[in-house]
Amino acid sequence: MDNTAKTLVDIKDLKVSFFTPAGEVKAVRGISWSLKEGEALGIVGESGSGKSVSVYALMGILQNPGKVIGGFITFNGIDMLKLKEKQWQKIRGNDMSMIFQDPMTSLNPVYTVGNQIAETVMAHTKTRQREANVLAVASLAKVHIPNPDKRAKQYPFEFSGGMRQRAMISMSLCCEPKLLIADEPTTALDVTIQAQIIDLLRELKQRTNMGIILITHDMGVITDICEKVVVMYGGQIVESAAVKNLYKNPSHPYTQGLLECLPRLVSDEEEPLKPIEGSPVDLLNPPAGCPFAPRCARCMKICLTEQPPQFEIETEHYSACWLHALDN
Amino acid sequence: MAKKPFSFQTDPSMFEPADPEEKKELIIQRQSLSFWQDSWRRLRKNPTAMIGLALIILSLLFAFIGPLIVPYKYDEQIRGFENLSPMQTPQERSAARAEVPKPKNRSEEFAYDFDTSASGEKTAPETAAVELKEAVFPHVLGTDSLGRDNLVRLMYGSRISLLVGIIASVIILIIGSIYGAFSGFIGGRTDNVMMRILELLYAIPDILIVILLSIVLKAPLSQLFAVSPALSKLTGIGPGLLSMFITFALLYWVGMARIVRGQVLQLKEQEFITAAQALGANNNRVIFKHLLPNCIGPIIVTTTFQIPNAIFVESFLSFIGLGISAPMASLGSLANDAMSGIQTYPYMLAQPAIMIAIIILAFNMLGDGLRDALDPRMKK
Amino acid sequence: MGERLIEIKNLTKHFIVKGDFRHNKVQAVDDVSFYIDQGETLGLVGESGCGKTTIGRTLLRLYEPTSGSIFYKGRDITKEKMKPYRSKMQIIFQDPFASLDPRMTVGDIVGEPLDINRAYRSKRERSDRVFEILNLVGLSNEHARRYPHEFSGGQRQRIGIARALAVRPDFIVCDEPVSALDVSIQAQIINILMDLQKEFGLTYLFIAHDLAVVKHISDRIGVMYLGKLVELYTSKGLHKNPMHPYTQALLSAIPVPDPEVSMKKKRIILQGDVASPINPPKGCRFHTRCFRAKERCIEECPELVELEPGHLVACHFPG
Repeated sequence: MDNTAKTLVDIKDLKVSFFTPAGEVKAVRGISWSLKEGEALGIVGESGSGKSVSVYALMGILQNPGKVIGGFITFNGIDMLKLKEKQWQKIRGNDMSMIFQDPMTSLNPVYTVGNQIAETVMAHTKTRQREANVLAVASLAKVHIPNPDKRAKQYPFEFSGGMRQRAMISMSLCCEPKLLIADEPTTALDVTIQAQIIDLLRELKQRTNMGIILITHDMGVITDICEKVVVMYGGQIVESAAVKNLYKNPSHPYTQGLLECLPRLVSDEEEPLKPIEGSPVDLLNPPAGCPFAPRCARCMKICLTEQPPQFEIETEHYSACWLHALDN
Repeated sequence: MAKKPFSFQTDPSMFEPADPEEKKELIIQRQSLSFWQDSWRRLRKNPTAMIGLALIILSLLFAFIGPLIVPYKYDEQIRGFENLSPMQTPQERSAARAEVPKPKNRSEEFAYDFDTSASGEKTAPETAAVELKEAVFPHVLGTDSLGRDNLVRLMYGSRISLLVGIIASVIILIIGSIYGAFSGFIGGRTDNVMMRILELLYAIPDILIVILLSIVLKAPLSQLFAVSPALSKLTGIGPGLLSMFITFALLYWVGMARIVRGQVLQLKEQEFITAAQALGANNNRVIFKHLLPNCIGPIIVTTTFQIPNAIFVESFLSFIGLGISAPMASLGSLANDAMSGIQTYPYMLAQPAIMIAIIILAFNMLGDGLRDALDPRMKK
Repeated sequence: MGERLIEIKNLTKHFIVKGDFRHNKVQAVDDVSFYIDQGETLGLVGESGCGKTTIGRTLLRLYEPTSGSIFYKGRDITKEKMKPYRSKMQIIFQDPFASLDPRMTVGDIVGEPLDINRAYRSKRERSDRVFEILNLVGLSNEHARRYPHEFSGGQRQRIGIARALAVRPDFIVCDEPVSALDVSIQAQIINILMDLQKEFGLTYLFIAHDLAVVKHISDRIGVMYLGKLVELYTSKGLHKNPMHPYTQALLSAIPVPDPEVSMKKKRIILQGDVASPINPPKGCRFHTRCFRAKERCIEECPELVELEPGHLVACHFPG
């Protein structure tokens, strides 16, 4: 990955809120990150962190009552927030595509898999049905589905979970997008199947020059695929770094807590796990200061009232925590 | 610590550890709405449903409070006040009639004769009484052929119709939901058998049963009422009305049973039912404490639609003479009475018909709104 | 560790699923035997279709076994009425959202086992007991008046645990209790379970698909594949010395956050998908995906043999 690679996605200070009858749910409260071509970025967070919402905003598939209320999204140099729906549709599925968590429900049960892939191809390029069908079979072969010509004629229910996820991946790749967004692609899969999918994604990354955004709550998956990682909590980015730096030097208390509370296969300790106390943030009434403050063991008075800025820990490694002010 | 490269002045004491209480305050427990509050909020936003609800409340007031306002009794026959049009007094009527030329067709002739004879024979005490009453309260909707005030009869008829509708719906609710819940929960062959019985019941023609029952029950009931003086008060519940209730209890709960069974089939796969069984709950407990309370939404909606259904059936049966017996009145029997004079006094039919229409429409509008408001999937 | 609390012998559970024109037999659990000592935690891992959840539920007779026996404290309870045993053998479910009745208050949910077993004499006694259990799992008295939807996933799981504890059971089946929770909450719940085990001398059957979690909480671990038990050993031993190829693949497939460890890790990527329990492969059920499969594996189904003390493996070519 060279530094002269083009910036593919640039998100600046993005804010997304859901205007529900109960009030404004501030799902994303000002996040910024960027992705170059050929790079893989991981977004780690738990439920309510805003990771999926931010990416839906990037794809333009935010559902009512969600709205982008601030910030900029630039994709391939285009200001996405200024686009109309028709222009979005040209880009979606074509230049940027997405695979979702649940392979059971993301495929239409009444159409054959080959049909669905062909449809996507025809929607974006000027290909005829017959050619599109051939492309669909080739697409399935690219993701190592055995007997792709037979499989293309089958319905989703005849596929297993791992195969469906592969079919989804092949569908999103059929128009050779510049950006692939994977929203928890392996969470619903068995561990051995997960390993296959991770392997596949790694191979695809090497073969094409695609940018990948991988959203997950599993740090291990990030390590396998991504170079950069961003940790989100309560709608904000609390730490961002290169993957090896994050692991070597986790600087934000949340990241540290996350890494510590996982039971390790390698450890022989009989000690109890070190959980992070408390519950995830209520985004209807987020705390005024740092979103992690109520659960942080080292919370200070300032954390309760002021949101911490991003402090630079080392090159390309930022952490939003007031504790770093003490280090200076 | 004083020399810090901050662009804003920070108080160094802010960097001391925070108290646990301060942290707790940040965790504001969100005010959570209960299921009913949430549904009511959604219902309120639906204008059609609110109109329906308002109409129902008005109808109930009309039927139950109304007769307290109007000074006439539903069975009070006032001589000399027969067949008045709405808001008409006998004097106005005879005046109007006097100007009308002699009619050609027979029924009008007959009416005309009847009128002149009545107004022509005004005796002194009657007139005085008549005039006294008139000064107090006009006959807003006119009177019927026996001089009974239409408004009060309409109110009374609505009351009977509504009561019958609601009681019948409650019977349907109880029988249908319990049957459906047991059938759905027990499943297997029992469910199969119970559903086939249901289909049989559905196929039986209801009107036929009502007619048969009312004929069969006539003799034993009149004997029963003769024997027991307390029951004579219930003479109004003649064989007609009783057979109607029995038919409702026998046949009309099929829809409710099917809906509840459908809900139960879905619910019984949910883990909290397995959890209850793992705790050692027997079938009764699971059905009454877990399954049925979770079916309340569809049960309420179905009942709300069942009420106008029942009212309509009752009206229809009374209209063809099978339901209510005189002197009690329901909207259907009022319509029936109005049929004989329909040419001359069309308003006599219009009044109960419009009332039935309003009640049925109101319940349907409310039912539609309730269905949307109580749907758990719409919850965010 | 005390005496044997739970034992199953040759437990089999088949489901009949109606297909298009025929009835398919889903061989969810096939001839599984193991025992759990008092105070011990036996972990059960495997992927979808392996039958681990079915075993948990069949053990509690929530499903009736097709064949085989279940023993509680040495007594054969396979055919007996379960009511008296229900208060001794409880279950915690995976889905904190679906396992609580949305129409009941927390107090009623936790109190239900007390109601069923008539474990109190007055209302006061009932509410005292309910508060006591809620406090045990880290919830407060005033939570008893609330409804499940007002709580987060982790809190609901605590309510589920409280409910299982209410009648002081000896044995709890934990059916994937942390799989549906956020990572930072998982550790809380695991700690609670372990604390409760120490305090009350509970015995657990811990079912999960996350080997790391299972290793932490279990004393011994059983690995299941397609309805059969393929390996059984102590948790430490299993990680250090897995002998069955499936266990080895499982261990290697777990993603590790540490980049250096991840790079050094031996990667075994299994080919193909998990076969369906409707038509399991003949012979060894794992042979279609096994990287060590040979002729014998296609014909003969391996028996579970004790290869070293306490270490059982069902493979023709272990190691």
